[in-house]
Amino acid sequence: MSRHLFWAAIAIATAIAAHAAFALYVPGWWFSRAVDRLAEAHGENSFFILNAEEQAQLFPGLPRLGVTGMCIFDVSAGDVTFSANLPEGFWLTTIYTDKAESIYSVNNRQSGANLFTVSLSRAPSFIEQVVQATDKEKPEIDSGWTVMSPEPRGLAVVWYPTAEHGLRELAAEAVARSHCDTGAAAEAAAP
Amino acid sequence: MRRFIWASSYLAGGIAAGALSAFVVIQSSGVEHVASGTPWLSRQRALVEQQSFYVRAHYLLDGRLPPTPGQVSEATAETDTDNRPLTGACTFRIASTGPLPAWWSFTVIEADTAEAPLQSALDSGAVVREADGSVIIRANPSPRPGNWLKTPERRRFTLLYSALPQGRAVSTPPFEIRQEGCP
Repeated sequence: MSRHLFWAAIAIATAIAAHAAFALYVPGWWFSRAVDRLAEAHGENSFFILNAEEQAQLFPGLPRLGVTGMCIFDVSAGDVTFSANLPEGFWLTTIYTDKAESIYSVNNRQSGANLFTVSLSRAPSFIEQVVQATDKEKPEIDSGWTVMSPEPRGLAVVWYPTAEHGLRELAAEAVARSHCDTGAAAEAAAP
Repeated sequence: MRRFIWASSYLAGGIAAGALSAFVVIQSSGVEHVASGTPWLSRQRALVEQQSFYVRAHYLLDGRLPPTPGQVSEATAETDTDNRPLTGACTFRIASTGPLPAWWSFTVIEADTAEAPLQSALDSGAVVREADGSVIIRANPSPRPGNWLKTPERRRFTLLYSALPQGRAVSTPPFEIRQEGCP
């Protein structure tokens, strides 16, 4: 009897560990496969327009006529700059971590401009925060918008809806003027 | 040997129960009726709360990104307004019941997963409106006159509604779904 109780306790402990491991690891791993496929096809730290299939997969609720652009950024090696250059009209820009957490979102009305820059950097870890607090130092923030991602990898997504099929190609060309650059490339591109 | 089999079965049972319970919690977490008496379900409220871990996991397992909180609202229906399951064996009439948001969209998703092969969509920019500005859509596997959403043949499907939110609250989709007939 006591042996069965012992193994029942072990089974419960194993179930709790398996529950936590599944919930913490499996969804992120599953989604990262989709992001890996996109990164393989289009590259990291570069802005690209999703084709209809990719758009339907990632955003099934958004209409097929709309244009969705994306930059898969990786801030583990340094900051990344997302420079949006969007056409007139309604648009929505959202920055997600690769765990699907929305960390920044702005639309055309909130932005007030179709041309803007978002600096993406890695959020300091708990230890770095403690050290910064001790040293009385804070990270420098430039004049643009700065978003700190708790994960090294994430997705900057632009959605621009169009009313007609014929406009999609034109809108895609306009949205594709946006770009994503690593710190070094952004500095080189600066005048 | 017998002891080893006992130990292995307890451990395997624990792992299976843990993984299964995680899957069930992820799929059901945060789902609530947008308003009583409507078929519309949403995870929107749970998504903006701090404890949205399981809700985000649901979207990740589906291989998709969640709607941006506060920017795009989303609701799904797996039954009609009379609580009958949505299936391609029947024709459903989706009719607006009030003022419509500036932008809205319907997508048919087969088997409650975004990876399903069939996805038929219709949005506010593409629909034909009635004389009074209202919208009527028919969902069926075969083409229908007027606004038509293609559904899977004789299989169940999920209707996904997306819209620009009106205010900060989770708004009820201004559409009712009625079964028109099952041949």
